[in-house]
Amino acid sequence: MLERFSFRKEYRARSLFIIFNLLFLAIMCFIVMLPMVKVLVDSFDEKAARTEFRLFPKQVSVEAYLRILSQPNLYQPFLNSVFTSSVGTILALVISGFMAYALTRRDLPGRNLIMKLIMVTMVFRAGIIPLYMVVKNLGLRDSLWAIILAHAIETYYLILLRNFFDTIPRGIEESAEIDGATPIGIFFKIVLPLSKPGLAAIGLFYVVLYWNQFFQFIIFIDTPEKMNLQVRLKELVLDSTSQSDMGGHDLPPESLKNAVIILNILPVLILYPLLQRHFVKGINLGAIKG
Amino acid sequence: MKKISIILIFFVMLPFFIFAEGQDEDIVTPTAPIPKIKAVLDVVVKVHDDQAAWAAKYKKLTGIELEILQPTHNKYEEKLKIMIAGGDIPDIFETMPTFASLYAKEGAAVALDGFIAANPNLASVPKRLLDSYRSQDGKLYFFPLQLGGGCVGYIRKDWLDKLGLSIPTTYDELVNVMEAFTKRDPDGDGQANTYGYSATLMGDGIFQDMYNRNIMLDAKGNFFVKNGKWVDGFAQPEMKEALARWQKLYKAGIIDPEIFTNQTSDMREKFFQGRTGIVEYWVASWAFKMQRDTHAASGPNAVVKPFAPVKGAKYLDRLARVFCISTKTKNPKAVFDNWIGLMWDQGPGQELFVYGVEGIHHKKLGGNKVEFLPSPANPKIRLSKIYVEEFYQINDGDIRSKQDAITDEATRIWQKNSEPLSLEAGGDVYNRYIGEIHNLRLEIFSKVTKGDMSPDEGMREYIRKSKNFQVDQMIRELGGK
Repeated sequence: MLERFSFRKEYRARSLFIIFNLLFLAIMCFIVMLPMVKVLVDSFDEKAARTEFRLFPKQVSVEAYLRILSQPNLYQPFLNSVFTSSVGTILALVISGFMAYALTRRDLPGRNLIMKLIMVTMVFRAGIIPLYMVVKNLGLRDSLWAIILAHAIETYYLILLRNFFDTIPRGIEESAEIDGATPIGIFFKIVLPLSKPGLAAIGLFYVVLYWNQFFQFIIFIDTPEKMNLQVRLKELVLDSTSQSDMGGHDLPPESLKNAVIILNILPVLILYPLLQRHFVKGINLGAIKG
Repeated sequence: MKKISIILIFFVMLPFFIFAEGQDEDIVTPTAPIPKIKAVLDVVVKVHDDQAAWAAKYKKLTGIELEILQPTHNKYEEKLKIMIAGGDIPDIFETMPTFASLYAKEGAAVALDGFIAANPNLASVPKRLLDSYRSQDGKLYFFPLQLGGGCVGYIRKDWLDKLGLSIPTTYDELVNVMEAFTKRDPDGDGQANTYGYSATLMGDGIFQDMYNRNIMLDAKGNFFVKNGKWVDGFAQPEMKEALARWQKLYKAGIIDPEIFTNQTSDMREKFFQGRTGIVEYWVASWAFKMQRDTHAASGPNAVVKPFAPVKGAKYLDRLARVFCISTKTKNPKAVFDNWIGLMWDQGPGQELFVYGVEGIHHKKLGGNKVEFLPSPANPKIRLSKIYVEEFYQINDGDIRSKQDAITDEATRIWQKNSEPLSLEAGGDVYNRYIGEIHNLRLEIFSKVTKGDMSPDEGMREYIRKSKNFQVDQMIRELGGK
């Protein structure tokens, strides 16, 4: 319902409250955005310094971006990142989707027990050393599949997806069953098409998860050519020889570091608005069932 | 970070406990041919600088195939620990002396005394050098990659000349120079955008003593050996004086205000770009880079000059990275002879470890001179080291490269004006609390320097709070009790 905005006596209190709310939220937004603004501004500022804050660059330059993007040795890591993020997300959605759907079926034997066992892995994580041993024993050391498979099912996202599937009225599935549809047919022809918002939301989570992989690349991958963008950018910008490798010392490190941060988050920033509509709906729907 | 490392070390040791076969450390196994050595190395020549050619030359010299794993530098120790904990145990690995002593304590590293004594190539290695790596049980479980190395002060000589000043020899002169560098526009751009001195005090989450000797003078923030006994440097009277100096300099605005957050790369870049006129940084191949990169960023007229410590200060000689030979290795003596023995043969082996492969990493100039070649990865940059730093060789190698004057000068200043650090290897209490102690030191240092408390108050608070971390027991453990 639209509230009337007016300073007439009967609406005055309400209008002042709206103004206060707007101001308060604007200030909160500004505070939350400050670190982001600093990173963005410093990435374009040739005079960037860690302890100085500016709303606009003192000396505007895109040199830091050009310097990073002109590194041919970043192309392969970029492709590796794209490969693990896309294949990993698709695989994770397929596996999580099947499992989440199975867990919504009331006739699944041991459904509650399976769900409890899954929940246990949320609370007690084995840690990196057992994971390393599993990867090694599967012969996946130095393979990008080690990264992809290690995250193919994330418990939290699985539960979120199961909750989302649970919101689909059972009656629709029952109608399909009466019409002779098999459970797998119901999954592909009814559940999945109705679950686009949920899949989009979980998909975005997985993309971010895979895109941001850093430590597991360091641990599982040995060959430099198989490293992802995050690892290479960190090496290029923060390591001891970085500035020389980047072609000189005429740029402040802050400018380069901030440009790296922006370039790192850019793919997700581009992807997010495209999926935002589904994303918000997906999260809301998944959250109402327990 | 440190805490995580120590927890990891515990897990690292599990495979050794589980699969331990026992070893008599005094038995020297005869050298037998081995087909392959699996090595985990950090600072060896990079893959993109033709590591393959380096390994091929190694095979040509020894007949042994070399499998090198070189994790990314900034996560090297974590990966090594996880590998070992996961049962992926190399024959030989490079690590920091502090971690090496933990591996040794848990029986993961072979004692090397017998191998050293039996290897003629190591006869000329100074006993004093090896003693500084000796464990509390009197044995050597790890061998240094090279001499430790250290930092010296670098100053912008062109700024000094412009302002009519000379290289400072006392602390007061140094303060005058800092003040002039900050307030008298040494770069002549008409802006107040320079500082006298930059440093890092807190790099990598530990209190750093290496990069600030000219202000710390005789004080050290870490544990060190004073008159033959381990002491907590931060609780010593000279630390109070040092804190007072930092506070005064910070208040005067003549030091870089980012000393609390600077990493070593930050302060280095600030020097290159002419945002500060003095830093303390590494010698040897870094001296050359200090000059080269300052020229690149600030122009060819920038003159970089290494300088001796001001009166009352000494530069530090840290312990080097070390090699451990794993107790899981089938033939440790063969690994020792074909790696550490070969490194110091004063012949082709040493040439390989110091200068790399002829035609790829260096060229011969005639006589016993060599010259490093441009990096295969980036031909614009000349290589300055392959593995062992030329100036940090532990014996007198036959060969010398054509070095720049600044490398020679900086290294000589450091050799003449440095004091050695001791191996900081404590026990359980030390390992449990060292992270907290570092945090406490950093906290007190920041508060005092920024003027939130006086040096007296800072010292009192440190002494009071450090007792909670059993600092006395930590010191006893460092002394072997």
